[in-house]
Amino acid sequence: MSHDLVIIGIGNMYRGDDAVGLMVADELERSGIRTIKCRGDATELMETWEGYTKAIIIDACPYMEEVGKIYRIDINEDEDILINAVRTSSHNFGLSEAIELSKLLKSLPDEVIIYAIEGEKFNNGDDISNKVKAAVLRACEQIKNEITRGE
Amino acid sequence: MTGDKNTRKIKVDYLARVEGEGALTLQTEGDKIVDLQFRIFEPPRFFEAFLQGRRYSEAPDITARICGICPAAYQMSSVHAIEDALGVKIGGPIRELRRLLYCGEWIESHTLHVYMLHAPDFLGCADAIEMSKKYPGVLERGLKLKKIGNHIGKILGGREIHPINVKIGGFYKAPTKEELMELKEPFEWGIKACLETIDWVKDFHFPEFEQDYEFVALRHEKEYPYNEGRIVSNKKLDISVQEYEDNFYEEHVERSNALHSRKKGGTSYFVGPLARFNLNFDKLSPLVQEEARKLKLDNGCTNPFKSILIRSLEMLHAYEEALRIINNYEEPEKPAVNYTIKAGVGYGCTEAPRGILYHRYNISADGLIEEAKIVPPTSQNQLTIENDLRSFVPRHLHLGDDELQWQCEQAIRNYDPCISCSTHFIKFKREHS
Repeated sequence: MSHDLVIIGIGNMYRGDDAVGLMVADELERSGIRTIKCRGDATELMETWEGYTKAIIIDACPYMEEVGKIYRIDINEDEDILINAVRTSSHNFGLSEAIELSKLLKSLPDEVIIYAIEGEKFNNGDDISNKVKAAVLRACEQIKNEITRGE
Repeated sequence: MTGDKNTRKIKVDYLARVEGEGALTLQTEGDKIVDLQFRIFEPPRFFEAFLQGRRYSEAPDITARICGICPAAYQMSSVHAIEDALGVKIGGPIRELRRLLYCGEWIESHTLHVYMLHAPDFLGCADAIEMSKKYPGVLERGLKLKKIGNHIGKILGGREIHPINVKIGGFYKAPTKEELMELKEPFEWGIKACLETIDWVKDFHFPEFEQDYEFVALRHEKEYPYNEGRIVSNKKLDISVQEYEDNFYEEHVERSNALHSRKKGGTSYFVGPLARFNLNFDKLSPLVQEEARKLKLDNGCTNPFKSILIRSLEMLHAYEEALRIINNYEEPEKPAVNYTIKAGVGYGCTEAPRGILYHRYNISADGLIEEAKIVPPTSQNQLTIENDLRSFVPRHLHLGDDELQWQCEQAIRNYDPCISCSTHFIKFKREHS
């Protein structure tokens, strides 16, 4: 059965800025938008988005330019950015492999948009950075706009 | 290779296809190893501190977060330990449901390792993606097998990842007979698919590598071990779970933030599928025993490179055991038993997919956790993994850099190390000096 849109927040709540994907998902839920939270395992992601035509994924990525910066990646258009930004995330055997495998198995949604948020602290027990915390609401607004545009 | 031609240095900053963060440094001079370090980053110590001062009832849900691959194992060891402290005994359908939850976790974890992490080594593929291109259809079977295991987690755990339905004394909600019977047909298919899996992996080429290991696993008088049993070894160890810390200890190793486990006397030991299989062969189902005989493994297996065979056999056992539980299930009158909170110390040890997982909790009279101790399987295998590399590398120095690196990684992946039990950030790099 085919559905329209699935929103997936990826992260680990005990590893500092790695929690940001989950925090964005929580914030969207507070606005009445259904999300699914994952830890980022490849097979888990493949099962989660199977049958959907569009997936919006929120994940942390390591520090590159500016903590809290939000990248919007359309995997149909920005494959190079995906490799740079997501292959080095804290879910290495995860998102990028899940996308490649789903492509091979023809189970990838037609449209996959990734919101990657730059973090700086990913150790066990770290607090989430203030700049990343501040990015949560901004990411939610961007995603809400994206959903509205698609309706 | 640069510098001294007799010196080779392999530096693997992040190991590929293992669960978590790990690194390997290996330096040789001539045919001698001068430095070998297998480093892991391990979160249980963080969780041990985190648990202090929390209510006893929070331990199952908090410890489930240690690992995304084996959350039920952490839940099971924690509930058994706390129930031991409170004097709670579990039997009947609740015990069977816990066993079923464990079947689901073994299926998920073993299929992930066999199909996506370990098989590519034997097929000369860099990863599951390349394997999927070369061998179409195989990965689909593995993913379907895994998905069926996930369904158990969803029904019994409340959701597929990080189950939330487990509590001290049982479950918050027990499934109906109808809910479980929906799994009957998929599990019947799964048994056939497991036999196909065994038929697939049996023809892989396994490097010759036998060591004199001390295998350590649970042993139960009536069943292949998941939740209960005595801790036994092939070298005459036979102790209760309460005696674990009298027989094993952890030590801090400067190069790593993980603790290394040793048996008293300083020796290494081996936990996981090979240990369970070698110490509990007679408790496997007749079909699994028959398959093992065909593979000439009925007298035991001491080659860790063959662990993919043993995991495949354990997958078959888990599918059969799950189907037995599903067919015989009768809904319990209550999903959990009653108990009274009291001060005490409780011990729990269950068989996580990667081996024995030990928990101890000291609980105060008002139900707060005063101290927690968690020993995961990977830290228990860490010394054995290093010993394997110390023995394996000198025999394979004739290999080129890439091949040696690959086989060292494969030797580590034999153990399916769940290195950080928390994140999946792993890279690979090699240097010469």
